[in-house]
Amino acid sequence: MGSPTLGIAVPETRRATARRKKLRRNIGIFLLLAGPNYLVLMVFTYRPMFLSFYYSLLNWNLGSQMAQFVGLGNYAEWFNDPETPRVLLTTLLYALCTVAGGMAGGLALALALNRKLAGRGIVRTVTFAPYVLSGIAVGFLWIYIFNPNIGLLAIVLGWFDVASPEWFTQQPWPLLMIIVVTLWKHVGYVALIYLAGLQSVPQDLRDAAALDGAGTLRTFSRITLPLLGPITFFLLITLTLSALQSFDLIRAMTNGGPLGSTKTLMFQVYVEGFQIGRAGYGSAVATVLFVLLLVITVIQMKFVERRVHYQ
Amino acid sequence: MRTSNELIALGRLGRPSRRNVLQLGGLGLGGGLLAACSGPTVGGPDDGASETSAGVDWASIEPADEITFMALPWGGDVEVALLEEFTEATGIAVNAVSGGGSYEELAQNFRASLGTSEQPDVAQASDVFWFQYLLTGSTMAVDDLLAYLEVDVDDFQGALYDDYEFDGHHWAVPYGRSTPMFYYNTDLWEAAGLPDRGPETWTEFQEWSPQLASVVPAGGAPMGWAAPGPSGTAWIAQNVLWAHGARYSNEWEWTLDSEEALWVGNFYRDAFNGPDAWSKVGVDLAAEFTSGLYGSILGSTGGITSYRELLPSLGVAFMPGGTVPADAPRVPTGGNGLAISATTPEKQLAGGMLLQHLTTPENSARFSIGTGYVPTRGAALETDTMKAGIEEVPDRQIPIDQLAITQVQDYARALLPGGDLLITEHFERIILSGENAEDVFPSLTSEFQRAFEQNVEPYL
Repeated sequence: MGSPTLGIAVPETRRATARRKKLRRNIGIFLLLAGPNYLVLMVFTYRPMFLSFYYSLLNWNLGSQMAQFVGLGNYAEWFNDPETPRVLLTTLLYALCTVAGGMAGGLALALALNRKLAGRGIVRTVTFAPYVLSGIAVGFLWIYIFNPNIGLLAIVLGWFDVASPEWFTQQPWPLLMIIVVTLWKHVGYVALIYLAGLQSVPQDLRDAAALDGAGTLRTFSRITLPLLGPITFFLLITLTLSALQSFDLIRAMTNGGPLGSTKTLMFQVYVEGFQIGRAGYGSAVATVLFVLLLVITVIQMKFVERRVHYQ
Repeated sequence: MRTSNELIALGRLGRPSRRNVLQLGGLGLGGGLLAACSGPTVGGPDDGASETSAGVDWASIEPADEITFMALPWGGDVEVALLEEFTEATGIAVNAVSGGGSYEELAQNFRASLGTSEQPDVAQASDVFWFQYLLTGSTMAVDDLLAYLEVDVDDFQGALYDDYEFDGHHWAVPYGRSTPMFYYNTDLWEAAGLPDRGPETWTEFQEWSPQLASVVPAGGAPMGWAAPGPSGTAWIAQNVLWAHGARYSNEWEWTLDSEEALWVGNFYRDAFNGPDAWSKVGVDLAAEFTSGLYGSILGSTGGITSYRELLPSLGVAFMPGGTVPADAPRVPTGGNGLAISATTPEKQLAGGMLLQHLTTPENSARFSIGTGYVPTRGAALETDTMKAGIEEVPDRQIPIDQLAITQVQDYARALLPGGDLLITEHFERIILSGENAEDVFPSLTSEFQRAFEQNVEPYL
């Protein structure tokens, strides 16, 4: 009964064996090459993420060996907390101003630096330098500048008989001060990325536009800006993520105050988790922040990327 | 379009593709990680640290060869020398690790280290964090161990040692302790025609303020205050409250609804707001005060030497009083103590020996002179080191004398987790927004109660 199929079965078995060997070899190679990265991601990215979500379901004081399971209680508390709308508004306002301002300022700076100027290299280096400085150091430095009593800015304003705003105590100055310093720190980075993009815009396109009678503004809006689309999109995502996770400048300059006016979601995670020690509640806020970041990124990917023109 | 069911098609598992294998691996790993969560044990509430060390036969324990000590770098050279001398005397090596740059960072680093190989055996604990360590089971009561080591605990300054008492046990010993002081610029005082002394009461200072306002430079004020923030506002406000017969709390009972407390709240409001305001919030208070911008400030004892280097015309005085008798306790203690967080008896014993060494009368005097903290032992005052230090800077005697009118801080500020921060945030409303105490204190009281129910009651 088996003999008629014997001649066909043998090659099929060989082929199956060969396939399995190839599959095993491929898996081996994949694990060898991608395994370390996969492991690092799991240990340092996904594991903390899962743990954070797990902790958000607990009433747990940081350092305690015991905790109580409270389900979604921490989330319910956060959504019902009268402070939440203010924290969200501060977070969004800060992100909006620093992202929009950083991109506009960075682009303007890049356009200026794209010209043939004497000492252009030095200027570019100086422009980029603040980005690589520690946020805490930058924060302390700017405290001395903004100090309304004995600060540098107060002295300069005094020359013109103008009183310094109370940057640290009166609304809306504290948040504005943090935004200004964030822009100062990030604008060089944005300029550098835009500069690379500007230098890759084909000159012949601009020449052609000039031949067709397009002015500088029209060439910029119809040729340069669209071709910078992918870079703008990249910056939009990275700056948004950076803004929503910003911490160091706020910690150094205002510690979230006064009156909570500079307390962002990220800073709330720190306050609840580390200053007060409510690790469970802090983890819930961190999870909310993660979801917010995810949603914003997906929206940007889905809707903004459609408007990007790739060369 | 692929549905989620197709992610891992069960029917094809007999001949899995590479993608199937990886998906399964990913899911398995993710699930394993979740299952391997190594955080707290989920169950009933903690029964508190409550490691009282009772029953340990210390005489049968050999101290460990090495211990880890987590502290702020504020001890400077004198602390380094004290640790070296400890190792020389006992043979126990001390691995000193930095706890950061502030009490908040110290607490964060300490708590983050718990359960890891980096967990310290002895740690500094600030006045608002030692109780949180106790609540989370991180530290042990030191009474039995100190008794075994024959440490004369009765010689500790009473209010400073009692700060760490809860439930009949002590959970730390005083180390870098301070109190707020009243600092004033004697040049401005003289220009204003005021006597060369601090005000006896807050209302006396209020009466002096127009004279001072007339002599401070533009942008200055009779009194400068540190920008509201943890460890400042809530600490010092206890003086104003106590001086007028009020307090944040009486143990776990909130008492900001008293007439006296409301008066103090509105006293703060009027100090910063309105035509008769006499206070201003500083950003870099020490720099602004020593540059002559303010007539006076309130600061920790360390300022006695550090301010004087920049402001030779420095005056130092007791914190002002109020309606309570002049010799009634009205000044809060502050600073930090040393807690034992070791998990083995050997390291606990070595930690106890370190506590004993760092707080001997002589070492307490050396630490006080070297850092500006007050000496924690009565016998330290009789040492030649302390006498020489006071002879060098006579004002060092003033905070020592002020210890007679200090008392243990209110639970709401020192023991309630987050209480310090809650008080600060609510006092900001009074100071910066000019709100009435009648509107702010009920909200603060509700927050106290919420924090107590969430973070203390389940653990007591």
